[in-house]
Amino acid sequence: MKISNKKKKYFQTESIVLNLFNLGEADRIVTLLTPNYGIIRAVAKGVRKPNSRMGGHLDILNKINSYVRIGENLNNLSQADTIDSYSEIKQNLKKISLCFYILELSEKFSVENDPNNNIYQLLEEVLESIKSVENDELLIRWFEIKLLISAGFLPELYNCLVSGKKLKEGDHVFSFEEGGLIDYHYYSESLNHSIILKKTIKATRFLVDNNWSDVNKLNISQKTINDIKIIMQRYIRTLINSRVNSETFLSLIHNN
Amino acid sequence: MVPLNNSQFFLTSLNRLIESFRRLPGVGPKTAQRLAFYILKMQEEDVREFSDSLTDLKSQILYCNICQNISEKLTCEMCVDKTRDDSLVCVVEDPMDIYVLDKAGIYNGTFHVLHGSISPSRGIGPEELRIKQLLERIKKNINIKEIIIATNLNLEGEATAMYLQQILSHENIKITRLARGLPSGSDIEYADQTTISHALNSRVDINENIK
Repeated sequence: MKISNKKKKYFQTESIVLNLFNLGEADRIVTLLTPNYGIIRAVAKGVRKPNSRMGGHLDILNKINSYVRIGENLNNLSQADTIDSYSEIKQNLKKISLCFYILELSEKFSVENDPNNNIYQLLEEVLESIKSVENDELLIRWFEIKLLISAGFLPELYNCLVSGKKLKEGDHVFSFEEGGLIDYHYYSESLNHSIILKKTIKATRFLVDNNWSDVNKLNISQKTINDIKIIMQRYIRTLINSRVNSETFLSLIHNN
Repeated sequence: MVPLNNSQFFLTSLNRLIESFRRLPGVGPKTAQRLAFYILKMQEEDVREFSDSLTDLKSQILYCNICQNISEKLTCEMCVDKTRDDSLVCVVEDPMDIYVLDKAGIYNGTFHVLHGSISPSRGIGPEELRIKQLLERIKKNINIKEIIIATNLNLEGEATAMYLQQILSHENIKITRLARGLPSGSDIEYADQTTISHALNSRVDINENIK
């Protein structure tokens, strides 16, 4: 959806600040995720100065009400008001590292000026859950899977991607190139394949089909969560064709 | 209007200069062209001085072996200055922050420059900052009694401050963070909720201040 038309010069939207880049002496380019316009990049003038009215509202992670003036090349952020600054999260380094990872993934799977309300709602729900979450590893795995679904990359978990037949219960193979499961006897070490255990498949299917409140009640072993992590992170890397930068910091903080 | 294609209209040397200016932050194609043409009109001697200052910047500037600030000597002027209180170390993100803090005239301790803040999405983690050098400095200098963390007051600066607090918590040193609150000359009407809550939480007794 193209947001700019000749009559419309401004629009107001709720958004979450994904990233900030310094521009010139006191300006910043703000990357916002919005429910109706996808990713929006806009220049926020003078926000690095202490007396800026907008500066305090524009921090990574903040949910804000934003007023954007549509420009020919770059949009301008003319006003911003905080809806939620997620201060409970910002006091905990472990939770911050989680958010950096989640925000980076949300940015990588969202498209500029293309609305995907599902990604915005998912991000909102995850940030709300992080405030009080105990099993954060499971929450990240659930987020990764739901994000892939919202972005249209849900891995095939029921039928073999080579033969097309319904997979029997048991251990199988995850093909990162094909984007899902294939029957065990198609496994090849030289191809982009990884063996996936029966209980990992079952747990992944559960994460796909359920919302966080149900998943949170589930007792999944740390080993299974780890197995899902290895599969999902490698699948994501194949999809975006690069590493997720925040992965390193997340591991550093979580392993300490 | 069709944008000018530099390579078509300008000489190679002029083009190179325009492209070099364009790499600078906040300089667009028009400004780059204006600067390049201005240099073309300058006296040859002035241009030589200008280019020498650019090359000297890279060849003569080092990082101080104590505070990691930019310096022309192995140890910078501030670190050899005996009048400064070396029991205080103020940790900042960038060399520019030192000048601002020092200009205020109320701090007479030493500094440590991290050269950035933790920014995971840009691939900048603790390993990329000069945190290791800070730990070594603390081990070597038993005089250090307090570390003042003066990283920027945004999520990346806060993450850096919390990480420093975590790794320094084992040392027998007082760790402090710059106060947060309303800037001088500002209107409460326009303050955001984070700033207001910090200002309220760190409010001070007015009677004590008057004394």
